[in-house]
Amino acid sequence: MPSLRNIVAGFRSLFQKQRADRELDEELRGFMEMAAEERMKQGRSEKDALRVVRLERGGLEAAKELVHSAGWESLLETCWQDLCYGLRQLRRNPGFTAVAVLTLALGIGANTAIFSVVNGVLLRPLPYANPDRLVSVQETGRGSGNPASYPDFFDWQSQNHVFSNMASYHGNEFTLTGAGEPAHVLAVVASADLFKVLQANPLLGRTFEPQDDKRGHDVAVLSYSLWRGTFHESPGILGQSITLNNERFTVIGVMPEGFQFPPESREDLWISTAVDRESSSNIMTGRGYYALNVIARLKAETSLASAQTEMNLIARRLAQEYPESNAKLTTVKLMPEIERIVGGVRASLFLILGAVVGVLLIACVNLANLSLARNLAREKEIAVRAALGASPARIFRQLFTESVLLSLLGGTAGVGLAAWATTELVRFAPEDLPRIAQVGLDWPVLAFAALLSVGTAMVFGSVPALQAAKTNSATSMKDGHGASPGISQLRLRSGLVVAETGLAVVLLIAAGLLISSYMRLVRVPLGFNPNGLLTFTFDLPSPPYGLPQTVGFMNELLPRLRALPGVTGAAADWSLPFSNAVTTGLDFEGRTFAPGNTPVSIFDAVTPDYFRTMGIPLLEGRIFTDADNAKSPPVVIINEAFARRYFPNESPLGKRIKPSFTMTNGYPWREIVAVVGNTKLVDLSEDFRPEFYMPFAQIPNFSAVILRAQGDPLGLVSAVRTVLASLDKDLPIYDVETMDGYMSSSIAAKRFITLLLGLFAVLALVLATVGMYGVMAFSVGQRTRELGIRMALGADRQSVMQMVLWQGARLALVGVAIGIATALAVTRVLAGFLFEVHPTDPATYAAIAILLILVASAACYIPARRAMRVDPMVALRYE
Amino acid sequence: MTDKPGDVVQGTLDMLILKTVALEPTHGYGIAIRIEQMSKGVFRVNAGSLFVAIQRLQRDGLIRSEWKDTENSRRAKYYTLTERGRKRLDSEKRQWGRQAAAIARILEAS
Repeated sequence: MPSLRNIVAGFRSLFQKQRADRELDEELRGFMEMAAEERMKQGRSEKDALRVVRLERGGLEAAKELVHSAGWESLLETCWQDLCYGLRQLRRNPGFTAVAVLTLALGIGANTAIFSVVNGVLLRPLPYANPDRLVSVQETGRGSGNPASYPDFFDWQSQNHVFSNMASYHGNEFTLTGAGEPAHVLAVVASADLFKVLQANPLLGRTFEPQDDKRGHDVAVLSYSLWRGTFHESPGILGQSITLNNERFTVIGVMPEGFQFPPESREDLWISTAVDRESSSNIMTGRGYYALNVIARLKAETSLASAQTEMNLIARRLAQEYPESNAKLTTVKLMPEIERIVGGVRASLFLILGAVVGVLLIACVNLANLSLARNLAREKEIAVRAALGASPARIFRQLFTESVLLSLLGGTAGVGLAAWATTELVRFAPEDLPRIAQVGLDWPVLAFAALLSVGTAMVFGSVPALQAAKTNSATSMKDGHGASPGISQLRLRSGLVVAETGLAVVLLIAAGLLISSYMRLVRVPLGFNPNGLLTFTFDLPSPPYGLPQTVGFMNELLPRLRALPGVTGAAADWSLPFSNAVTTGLDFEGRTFAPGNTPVSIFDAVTPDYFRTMGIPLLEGRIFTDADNAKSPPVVIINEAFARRYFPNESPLGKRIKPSFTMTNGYPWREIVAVVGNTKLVDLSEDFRPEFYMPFAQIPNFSAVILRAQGDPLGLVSAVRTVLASLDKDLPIYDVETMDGYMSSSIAAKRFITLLLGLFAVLALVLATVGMYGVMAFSVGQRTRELGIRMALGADRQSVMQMVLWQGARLALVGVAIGIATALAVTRVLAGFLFEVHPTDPATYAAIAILLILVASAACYIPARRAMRVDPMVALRYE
Repeated sequence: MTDKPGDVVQGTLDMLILKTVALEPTHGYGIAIRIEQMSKGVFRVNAGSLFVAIQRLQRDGLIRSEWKDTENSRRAKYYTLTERGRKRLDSEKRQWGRQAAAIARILEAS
């Protein structure tokens, strides 16, 4: 390591270069002259004496060079020289520079943009203190998505020794009244320890204390945005009460700006569990009432594995103690909180990242190819340098510096591109991609881009630089125009083209599979007509809206909506397609089912006009009428899938079923009055599932009102507001959406992945084509003389062109073969993303192979035509 | 003189320069000549390696330089040993003595 003195001296000789040079010069000259004087004393002539001294002690210039290069500062100096020289070189070849910088900018820009998403969504820690100690706790044994019940949560909380704090929470929606316009707000009902688990402190006031969980302690902590937007940052809000669904909550605190929990959503306020204790349902006491998310903080010295062991022990104890509810719940699922949030999207993001890395690799191969071609043109220059004494290492360094310079230029342009691309990505990303809103170009991303630039330079710069440094100066200089065809170079370049073609094929096949899967998905029959449907919802707070009032309100509202101009149908619906499908068990009159094979079905409650409004066809029987109400016999309508599964050989009409679900007066038998067509309910890619519908008047619950519009559905919104306000002025409507929009967001994630992969595949294809063209053009240029001789000896133009085309086609064929083999091996990772398309779908593979060969032939066509036009006389005289 | 003069033993030039300068401050040529004379013509000092070594020693603060006139009234850079240089020379001498003795023992072993 150089000492401080050494560094200072180095800088002095850098900045006072002329003076230092002069001194060294004078000193060395003095040395030489003194040595010569000694010789002259022995009787030699001055000239002779100087010659002898030079022979014995080395020349003055060589000594100077040695002293220069011994200081560390000389390294800086040559680097600077290389940079300046490199810049001049790049300026002299604007075409090469533009292509190279553009290629790099695309590659680095795309990678930086995707990495910013990966970083923001997957890698960035959660915005709480010591976020890696936060654990999500879930029940297991009931399939996927496993909330816990309050009694289980209380037992977990009191019996464990591995968590310092544990809290429950679940979402709820309220209408906030009394503070300006009535507003629909999102709230989290959280147990007292939530803020202790998060180690989050309020901006104003306090957070929950244990007593806040008790009956009668309805308190609320406001988010900063609600405090600012609705309460105008008034500190006087503390201790005041606010009204949510006609109940009063005391504001005890305000959280700082930027605080959110759960981290993937945007909540307006947090309220204590007192509200659940006061609820009329048995949510607090029923062990079968699964409604809670649980988050906990691991104690400092505890590992996740030991926490898992202890929690499983507790679960087994509870299973023995409460077999009727907990028999199957013998384990508890623990995972890092971040995993709960982003675990579901990791595979998709890594898939996209993989594709974009492929694009960058192709860009690197292209640049290596370009640089190789350019080095060949510079062979003479390099040979001269070598002859003048530049070592291979020195030549390598100079060429490598040029590559680094290029990739820094490309990287800078790429970051600019990424800044634009990232905002577009955030805009077009599916809404359910967690944490996407906070994605941006921050320091880690910029560092990644810088690293990528240097890494890229290493990948594409080292091969050509090594090749050039190996060049034998004697043979290169002998040749008049530096055009010895460089067979080994051509082989290297062909290999690179084959590699990038193969990579492009893999990307294209992956994109092709996703696209054909997506096309199948959007063409799947839905069972209803989504065009022109508007959905919205509002809350009817109880009191004053009990069940009879809710039915009465709907009976008032729907005819008024139907009377609006442009509306052809209006219905209330509990469970919209593609929102929340709820499943229940049920009994069949006169039939028993083996345990473990008990029937289940999705269910819904609808007003009579629902089927006509949605466009769901009636297959047999009769649709509900207004006469099917709370006082009339209970009835039910089933879909075709239900009829097929449970009444395969008989007409279901008149048969009776008893859903184990009720809102009023027990569990009545319900008579099947109709069979209607199937509809997609949860996911476009799944099969039709059994579903039954109950009349809204008998099960008065709704989550949406559906309107069928003749024109633009969204044009109806203000008229709808007016109608609603004429019935009750305190009912804000929310979740206004067209059914097309619903459908579209249900496949947004698939569309996003397909679009990005398609984009990258096209980019890969373009780059690979450019690479192919470059190599063919180079090869024709190299073979001008050979082609001239062939023609002089009688080859006709047609056969020369065919020969060149065949040369290119061979490269493409090898690339396609390698690409297909690789794709067969790796597209298996796509299986989870595909719908009705197998990862080895022969049609897709064949289409991509043909596409690539066509494109490659087109890329070879221009060089081939040039080869055809070679004039034998010119080509031969060229020598 | 039977053998042609050769380069200084690898890694010892620094020590020899320090020793020379320790005897009396002198210029570059003086250092070269003295090393050659004291080695009785065994060593020949090349200008390039001499001045590279001098630059290194100076940057490490082991020697100091100033421009002076020579006896032939020519301007030359004279080098003087610093206190650090003296310490370094002592330690190098000790080390060299040990190593040389060790090498001699190995070579004379029969």
